[in-house]
Amino acid sequence: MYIKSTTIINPTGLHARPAGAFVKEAAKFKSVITVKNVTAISKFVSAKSISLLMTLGLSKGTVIEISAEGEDEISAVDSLIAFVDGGLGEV
Amino acid sequence: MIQYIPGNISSDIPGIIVLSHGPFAKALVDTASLILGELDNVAVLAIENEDDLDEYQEQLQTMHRIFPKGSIFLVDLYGGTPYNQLVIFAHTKQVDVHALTGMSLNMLIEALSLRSECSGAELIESLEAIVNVGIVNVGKTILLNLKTERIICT
Repeated sequence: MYIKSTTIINPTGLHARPAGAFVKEAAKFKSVITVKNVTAISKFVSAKSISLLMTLGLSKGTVIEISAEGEDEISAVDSLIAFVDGGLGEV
Repeated sequence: MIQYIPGNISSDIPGIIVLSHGPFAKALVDTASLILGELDNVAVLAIENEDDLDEYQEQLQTMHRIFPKGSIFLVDLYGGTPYNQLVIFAHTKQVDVHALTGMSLNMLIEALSLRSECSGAELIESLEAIVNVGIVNVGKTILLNLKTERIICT
């Protein structure tokens, strides 16, 4: 398993469109990928489900943890962290 | 009748065929594309007043034929005409049909996301398990929490 943390920088957080973009990015990898709201101490939810991601309440400034387990776990986490740090196509 | 295929059709991913009364299905697909971008392997077949049911049935069978194995149907209303036509198709042609009723935007975008992970009956079961997550009684959850916080503060 490979885990990394980062902070949401989007002004309006992870609403539908950035969540959709995140899920599409996650779908490129075979690993089981999960996301956790560290700030609110949530459970881990699947990074491949928009509904579950949106229950995490990921507003700007929220710290998240992305974990992956599988053959491409490192590239999956690194890619998603970079995607979040890049503003999910919004910033 | 509204027939709408917004993107390409390929054999790589399960298709999602969206059935409804009126413009609902097309509007859902267009809205989902605002969230997820261009949508491939998606089709709409919506029935309108005065439509011929035999023609609708024929188009339903065509849609089923052009999409790969493991494709699913999302249907607006259990017991409605699109649902009934789908059941007639499954019975008369003796085909396995993977379908879920009570279609919503939440259900469609989940189907579009999860189809990279699974297909057919497994995709339907995953959707069934997850779509209720998006149904929240706001008054009993978020607003109640705000009220509770206010009481604590005063």
